[in-house]
Amino acid sequence: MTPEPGPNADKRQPRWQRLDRLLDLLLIGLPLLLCLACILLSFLLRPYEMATGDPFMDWYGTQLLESSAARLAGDPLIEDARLHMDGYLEGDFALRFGNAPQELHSDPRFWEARYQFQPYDGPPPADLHVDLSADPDAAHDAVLQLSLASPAANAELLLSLKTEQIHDRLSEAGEVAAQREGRPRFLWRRPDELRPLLERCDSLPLQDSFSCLLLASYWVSGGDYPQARRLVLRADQPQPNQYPDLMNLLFRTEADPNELILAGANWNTAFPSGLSSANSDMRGGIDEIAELAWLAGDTECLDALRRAVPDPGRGQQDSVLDGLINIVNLGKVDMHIMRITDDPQELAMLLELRQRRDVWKAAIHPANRPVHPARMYYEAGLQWLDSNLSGGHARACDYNLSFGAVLFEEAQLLQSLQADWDAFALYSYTDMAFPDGWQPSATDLSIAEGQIASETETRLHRISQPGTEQAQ
Amino acid sequence: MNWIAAIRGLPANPLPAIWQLQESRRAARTSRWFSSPGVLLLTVLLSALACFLLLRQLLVGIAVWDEGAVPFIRHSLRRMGTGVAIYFSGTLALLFSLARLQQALQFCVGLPDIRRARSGWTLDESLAGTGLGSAELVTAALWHSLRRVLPSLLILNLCLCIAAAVHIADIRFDNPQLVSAWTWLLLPDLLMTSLLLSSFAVLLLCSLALCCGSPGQSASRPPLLAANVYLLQLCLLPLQRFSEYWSPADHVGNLGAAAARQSELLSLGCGMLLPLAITATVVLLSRSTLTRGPAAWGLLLISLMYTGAVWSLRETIIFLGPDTLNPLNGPFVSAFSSWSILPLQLLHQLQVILQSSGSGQSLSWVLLLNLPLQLLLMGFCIWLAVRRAAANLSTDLRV
Repeated sequence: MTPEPGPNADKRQPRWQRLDRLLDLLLIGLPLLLCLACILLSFLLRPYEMATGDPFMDWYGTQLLESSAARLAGDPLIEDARLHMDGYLEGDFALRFGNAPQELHSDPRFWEARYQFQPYDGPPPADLHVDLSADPDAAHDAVLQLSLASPAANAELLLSLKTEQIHDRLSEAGEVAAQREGRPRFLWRRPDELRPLLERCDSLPLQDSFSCLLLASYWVSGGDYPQARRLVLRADQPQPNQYPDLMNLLFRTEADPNELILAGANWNTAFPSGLSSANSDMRGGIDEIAELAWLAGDTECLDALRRAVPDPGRGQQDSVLDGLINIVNLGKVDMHIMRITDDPQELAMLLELRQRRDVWKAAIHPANRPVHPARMYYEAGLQWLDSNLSGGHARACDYNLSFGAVLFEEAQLLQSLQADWDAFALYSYTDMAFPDGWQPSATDLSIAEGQIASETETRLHRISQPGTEQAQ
Repeated sequence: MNWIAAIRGLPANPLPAIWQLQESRRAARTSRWFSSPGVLLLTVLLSALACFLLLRQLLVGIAVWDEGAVPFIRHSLRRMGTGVAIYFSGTLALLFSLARLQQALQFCVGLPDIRRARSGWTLDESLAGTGLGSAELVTAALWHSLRRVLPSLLILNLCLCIAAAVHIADIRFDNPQLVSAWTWLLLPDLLMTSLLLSSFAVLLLCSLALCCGSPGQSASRPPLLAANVYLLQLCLLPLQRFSEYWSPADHVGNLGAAAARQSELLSLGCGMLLPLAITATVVLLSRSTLTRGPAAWGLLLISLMYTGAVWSLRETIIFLGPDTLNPLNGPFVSAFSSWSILPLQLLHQLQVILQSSGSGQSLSWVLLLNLPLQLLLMGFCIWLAVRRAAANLSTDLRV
């Protein structure tokens, strides 16, 4: 029996009509509601304040934030800063350094940042007293001279300023660097100019491991191994001052989105070594120090060098990534001395060292960690959408957040490889022993003997005994 | 004049009201979304994409709620919110316009078939009841079709204008010398003109469909009529492509340089292929009732191609600046936009005007000739098509 239709039966909506309305709300209403929520949230969010506990970081971060906020507020549609975040800063950003608190002048990072941000075409900082627009090179010099007068003066600042002048004078005299002759060795053609400069560098207030290794590289290029040795041993000592930079925020595994975006942004600074020439000078010298230390049987110096090289001295050792990020030079120390032995036992140990390094390197090498094409397309598409739908602003966020996510993945990977790293990095030349007590087998020894026998022409020989001070 | 009287008599014409009533009754019986699964699927995809992008932004915003946000997060939220709102609404409006246009084409192509009485009425019954002639019938059908598409077209063009306004503002902030204040006046012009061109494109497609549906006519007539579109494109395309190079001082050299460009030649080639596609679909439309459904879809597809696809809408707005890599300059968009319900070609004109004002060049009168000529030629094609449709109807109704 069919039930009687109720009085409201005609007024009741059919199910598909209710479904239509639901779909209207879901498919059209929800995205538009989210759009509105995004816009509202952008006005409700309060500005981020830098509070890292580090006076310079707080001041510097606040300047970057205030300047970019002012630029974006006055020019909300800018999108020319997609690749270089300095486009988000006010044109007179450099003037902010003139108003910085006096106590920051003792911080080397202040001068690094000031060096990087000096204006080429804006008004000069009030305390610089030079016409920057007239001669940009003079402006660089002026900033460096100011920094040399500060308690933050360090070797790379002075060297970058003065060695350039020596280099120019050599060039004017028609001298050309020979093939494979590094810059420090070339500069030693004027020992009367370079030696006093290095001695002055030695007396500068800031002596951290980067400064020490750089100076050691210069000394060893001039053949003064004892000076270089002294500085290497000093570089291995605990550093009194540590100067984290913005990138350290990025490497912290607990970094929040603000820190990731602020630190990952491509600001015009590459602290600790914005002076790339200083960095390359140092790298060239490390090979020579290692070689001379090995020839001299100076295993104390070798071990100190291996410990000092991965940490250029300006980073906090509070994360695995931070500690391992500068490993590029460590392998060079070992590889350069591998060819200077005719003792099968030593060579077997060094071959094992190389093998362990290769295991570690293979694990972290990008070519051995292929990214799935689907993920590449997904990320490229997402960045394209972010960039174009938001006029570049979302990309400024998203790119740095993605960068941070990749870094976290790297950090996790490196942490998972800590044992591999230790097996390679904790090798002691003094004890000629691995931390796990590995000893070469008869097969390893025979392989080493075979290698020595086959390379008699190219292999160098240690002619001095361990403990001797001079190497030949 | 018969046609002018028919247009002036549209408010008193009962047919659009009858058709609208029929449609509203039909709509009351069917689900809006589930009756067009393709539109539903595309809308779901678009909506999901928009929600995904916005939720990512919101999650970042929420993550920094307690400690505050760096300026980039705040501005990213704001620009992403407005950007997605504009482009999401615009893309949906384009989708709905196309869906409505498809319905309008189906309506137009099926209308003259007086023997088909599946919808519960026949054309001759309607005409007998109202005492209207074929001119009034054709005018009413075109108006009814246009009225269905117009609301979503208006939203689409509005989104386009807002996006163009944002971009002009963007250029003005960065390079105030590049864009004069009077450029803002281009926006209402852009809105009105793009609506006009879109309407003409809809009318042209619908009138072609209308003249194809008559069962008693010769099968060769509609294709011959569609061939006029080919002639029209032949006139329009060179004008559109080369007008920006015209310079009173050295027009020969400029045009020669333009003609030597590979991209321009490609534009012309691609552009001339499209009327062939129209002709082919018109042939299918006029063959039999079996091929009409797919052919209407084909015509719609061509219309979609005319729009230069959804991505080019976005590209167009973003790169609407003095940029030689502008997709508007590319062969794809320029070729497909002449007849588009979304007249991207107009944006190209706007870009040229922006460039001219920025560089201090005077605008060429040839450039300003584009629009009226396009309207004139499109009007001529519509006129030919509706005359054929009316003649067909007169013949059919006499039978």
